Amino acid sequence: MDLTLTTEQTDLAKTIGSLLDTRFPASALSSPEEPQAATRLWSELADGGWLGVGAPEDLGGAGGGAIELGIIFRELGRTVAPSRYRSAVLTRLLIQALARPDQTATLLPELCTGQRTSTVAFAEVGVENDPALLSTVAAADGAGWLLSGAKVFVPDAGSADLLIIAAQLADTGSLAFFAIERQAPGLTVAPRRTFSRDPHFDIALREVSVDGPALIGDEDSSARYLDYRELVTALTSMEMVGALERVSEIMITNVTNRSQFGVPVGSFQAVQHHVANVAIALAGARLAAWKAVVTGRSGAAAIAKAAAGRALRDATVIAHQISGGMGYTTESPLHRYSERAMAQEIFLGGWEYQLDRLAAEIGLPGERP
Amino acid sequence: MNFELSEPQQAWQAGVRDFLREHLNDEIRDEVRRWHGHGQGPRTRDFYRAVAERNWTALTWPAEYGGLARGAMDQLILVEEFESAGAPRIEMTWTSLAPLIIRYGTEANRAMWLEGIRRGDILFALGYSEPEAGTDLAALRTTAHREAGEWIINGEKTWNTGAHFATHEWLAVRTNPEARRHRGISLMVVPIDAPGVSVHPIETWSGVRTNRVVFSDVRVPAESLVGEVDHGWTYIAGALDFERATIGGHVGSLRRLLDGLVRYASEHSRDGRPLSADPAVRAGLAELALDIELAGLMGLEVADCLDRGQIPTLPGTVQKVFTTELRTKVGDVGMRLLGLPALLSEGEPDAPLDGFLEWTYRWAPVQRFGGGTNEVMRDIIAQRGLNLPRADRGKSR
Repeated sequence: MDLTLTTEQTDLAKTIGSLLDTRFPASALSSPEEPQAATRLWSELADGGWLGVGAPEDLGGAGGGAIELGIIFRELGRTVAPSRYRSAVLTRLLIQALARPDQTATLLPELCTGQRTSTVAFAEVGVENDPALLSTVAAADGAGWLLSGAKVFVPDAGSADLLIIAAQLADTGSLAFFAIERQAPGLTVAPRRTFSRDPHFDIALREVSVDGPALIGDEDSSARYLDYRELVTALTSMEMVGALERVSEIMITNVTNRSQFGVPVGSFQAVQHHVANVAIALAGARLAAWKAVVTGRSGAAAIAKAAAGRALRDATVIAHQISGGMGYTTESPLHRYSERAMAQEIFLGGWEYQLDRLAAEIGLPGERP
Repeated sequence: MNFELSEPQQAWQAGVRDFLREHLNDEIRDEVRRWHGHGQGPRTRDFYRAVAERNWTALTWPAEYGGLARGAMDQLILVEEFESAGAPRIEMTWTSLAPLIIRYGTEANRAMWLEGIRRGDILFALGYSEPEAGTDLAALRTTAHREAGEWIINGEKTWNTGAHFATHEWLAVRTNPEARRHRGISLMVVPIDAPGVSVHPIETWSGVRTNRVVFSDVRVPAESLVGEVDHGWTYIAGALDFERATIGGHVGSLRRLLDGLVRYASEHSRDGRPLSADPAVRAGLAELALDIELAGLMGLEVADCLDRGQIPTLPGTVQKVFTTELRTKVGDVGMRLLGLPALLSEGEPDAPLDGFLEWTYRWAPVQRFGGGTNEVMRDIIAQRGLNLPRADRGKSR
């Protein structure tokens, strides 16, 4: 048992943390400078080799494992960093989880440098979590495949070169993933405006034709995909923990600087108790997120996601309450944390979904398979 | 970073489990249930003798005082295994007060009490609170003044749980009426059977008896003073930083409750449907499992901190608040989910979880306000943990 990070890991956190803070400062959020700041940040992350963390060095990666990824995702959460980096890393991790060696040898190097970017298309109207219910279909077509269907909430598809599409194989009904060029004939990408301002897209596939090697890994990837989902759930929980830490700091700064009735607002017991409640929830959520990242267990991921979601939504609501008008202007970054919090709560299944998984885990079988 | 027990820790855990298999049985559990760990029936005393034979009474003490010199994580494992199994509790005298004697006491203090504690012959009742000094402990008024080679004690203590079967009182007294309130306090150990000590029962909602203890011209030898005179507050505060997390009660008993609830839900139906298939029951129990896991992780963090030589003020206080409030939640949610049978009293045939659940509902309040109320714990988190400006608590001297 050792619940601490090594010196190297702490240094890594400081490096990426200060890079994100300086290139994508809170002052840029919701300001006219935000798009340029996001673009600059992306190039710098690519140039610095950050896209390759968690990928083997002989394939162009920067090495490191789940803990290093956890550290980075926590810092992404702290700064409500643009989703593009997150999408790129999560897509690369899916390829690492599923692909055959010849495919990783081709795909990984260019993804690790940012020379090409990619994203994953999973959700469909009415399907958010269960791969067995997907209706996007891939039918065998000679040596290749023909894909048809519609995807929703595909993050960052507008800037991606390569889309990884989840589909059911027409003949077996099994889950498979296909790498498709965004420019492929028959494929259309349409942007949607969303609550969290992250770029999301609808994708339509009308008999999009791909060759045989476009199928990533096996013809049945469901088990590996579900394992991968647990990793993404754990990393998302870390991201939420990072956001929670920053929200807590923002609210403490606000109540320390603002005075009413001649004393700092933060000296009132009622206010202190709100802040203490956030600290208590944060302590639990942080430990649970680290446990999920380190152990990779599905029960641990469900606990981490539920704990982080509950803590973050409570914290953002209370941060708005005790910050008053100071936290409500768009000059304050708080609204961005609140928006991201809700998006991440929903992504990969929210509180009720995670509790349902957990119920099965403790021996109360439900209706879910 | 890793969340697995090390090989020696796993071996230790297995050893504790072996011990419990050999020495714990339903008769002892039944006795614990009737006494709720706050008394010592004959079977409990036998069990404690076996614990003392292994020196587990002195688990974390240095070897020179007969201890096993083990770390906080090993102690956590011991306590959790005992609680999960429904064994008699690990006494605070062993885990908290004896280490305080070792850290701050005089050679004479150590010679007088440590060996007796280790053998299980000496047990302290905690004499801190007074009718007018609860969470605001520094307001205490019980006095001790020096006369020749003796201390003479006068005053009244309350909520001294266990005073009716402990051998000694562990007392906080005012030794310097002139000093500012925190500065004039000392710690003293007083035999319960000393002339002038009288113990009066207070019955509580949980059935756990506690006591009011009155001291009238009680004389104890000078060596009964723990450490130095007027240094008591430092000792108490120092110990609280280390032990606050243990006051909240451990997670083992919560796991025991959850296991019982899951088993009950799997074996019983209501209105034509197994409880385990009722979405409200499933969500309710899953939420408890989630929170119990978080409480367990907080306990690990405190132990990990201690073993690295840090003082876990923030994590310890966080765990105290979270775990004690969780105990209320487990009692509340558990009873509502189980329905009518949850109302059967402890000792009734067919009472779910042998009544441990309804008892928990009655026991939980004292955990929240005991050992410093959770409101003051939140002040500590905000002020000492997060540096918020200190609230004005009034000028009580």
